[in-house]
Amino acid sequence: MTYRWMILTLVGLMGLSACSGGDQAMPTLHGAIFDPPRALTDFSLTSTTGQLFTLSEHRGELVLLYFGYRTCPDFCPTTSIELRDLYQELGESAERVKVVFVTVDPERDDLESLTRYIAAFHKAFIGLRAEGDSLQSLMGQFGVIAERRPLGDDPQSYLVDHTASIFLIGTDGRLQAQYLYGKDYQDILSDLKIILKATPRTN
Amino acid sequence: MRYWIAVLAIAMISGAAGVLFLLGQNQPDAVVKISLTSAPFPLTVGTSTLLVSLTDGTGAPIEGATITVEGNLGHLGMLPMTGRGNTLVNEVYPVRITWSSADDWIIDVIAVLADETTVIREQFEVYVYAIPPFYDNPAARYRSVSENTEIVTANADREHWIIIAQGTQAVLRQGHGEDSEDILLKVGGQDTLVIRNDDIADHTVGPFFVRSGETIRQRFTEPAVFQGVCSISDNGSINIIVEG
Repeated sequence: MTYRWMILTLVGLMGLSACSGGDQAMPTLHGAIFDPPRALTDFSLTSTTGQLFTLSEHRGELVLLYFGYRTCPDFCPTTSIELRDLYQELGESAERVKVVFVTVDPERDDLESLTRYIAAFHKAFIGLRAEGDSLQSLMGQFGVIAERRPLGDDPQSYLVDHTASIFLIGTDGRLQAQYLYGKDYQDILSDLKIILKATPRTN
Repeated sequence: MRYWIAVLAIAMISGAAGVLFLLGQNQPDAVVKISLTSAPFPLTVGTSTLLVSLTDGTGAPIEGATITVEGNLGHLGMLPMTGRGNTLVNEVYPVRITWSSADDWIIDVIAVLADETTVIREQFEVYVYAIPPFYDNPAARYRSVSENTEIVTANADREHWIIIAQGTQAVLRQGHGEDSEDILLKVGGQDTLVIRNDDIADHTVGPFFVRSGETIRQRFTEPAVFQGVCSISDNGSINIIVEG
């Protein structure tokens, strides 16, 4: 096999409409769509609500999950603000959506500081904290990478380069879509509305 | 004169009809499909069993065929490994074949149907492992070259496909990988990136982590540049450039 990965960019075939792909799971969505939706191993982590957050207890809801850290200067606050705007525009549907932030810097982000941080964006947002294997296992499920970048001699002074995506977990608890950093929150909002409309309440 | 024209016309029509008849006899039925998996999956060095599925348009197995399999490494001086099967067992034709090397193999599957004239062919590119890897997916199968080509070209004006071949990680570990090239997309044109992972390992392509067996589809609506890790290339990084 000459090429291990095949990239073919053949141009010239007559176009089909953007929504005609036969094997697209949800062609009108703006995120990167997983086909099939990825089954996730259930997890139960310490949360800023004062109770454990267990993914399987949120079946029937959409979960927007993203990873970051409290002192992040760019991605995390930007994303959190966008998610706040999104959440507010969801209106009554917001009760069917959970926004969950997972710290990749548990050493500096204790639960108390994490609680203050996440509540600054929206009181309904949930922060999760895990360490060691629990955190690595969770990150591994989403392919999230986090690497420290020292800023000086002080071991407590560093940035963390981390995956800057928002992950959408469907009402069935499976990973449905990924939104890359910079995606307009209106696009995500549009996707959520489509999915919520297609997924009637179960209770 | 008219007589000869008439004779010539009849001869031509008869000849054409004859050719069409013969073609009709020998051309494979377009809906007959060959699928391939193996026990074990994926293949490992030594003797193993290829499981060849031959189905008609309704998906029903076709009986009475003779299956010939030839595996080639494409290395100079290497003899092909061959196997043959003509007994349908549990809706597949088992073909025992010995793999002499952990490497990329090109497998040609040739099926001669019961009429002994209709021949169906498919080619597969399969990596054979030295040590049995841990992998548990009963539905796993190898995708044929024609199947891959068909899916990649179907919407080529707007989709850019990356098919991560089975065995990609193993080949990289052998030091036989290739450097990645930039992926160039264009908003409003070829603006959809599709990554399908046929490898038994999970992979990262820029911002996308794609598990074994998954397909991820992203349509870009704005110009952007994504730089990131690339686990399917030798240089380990990739740029995805979306032009306006």
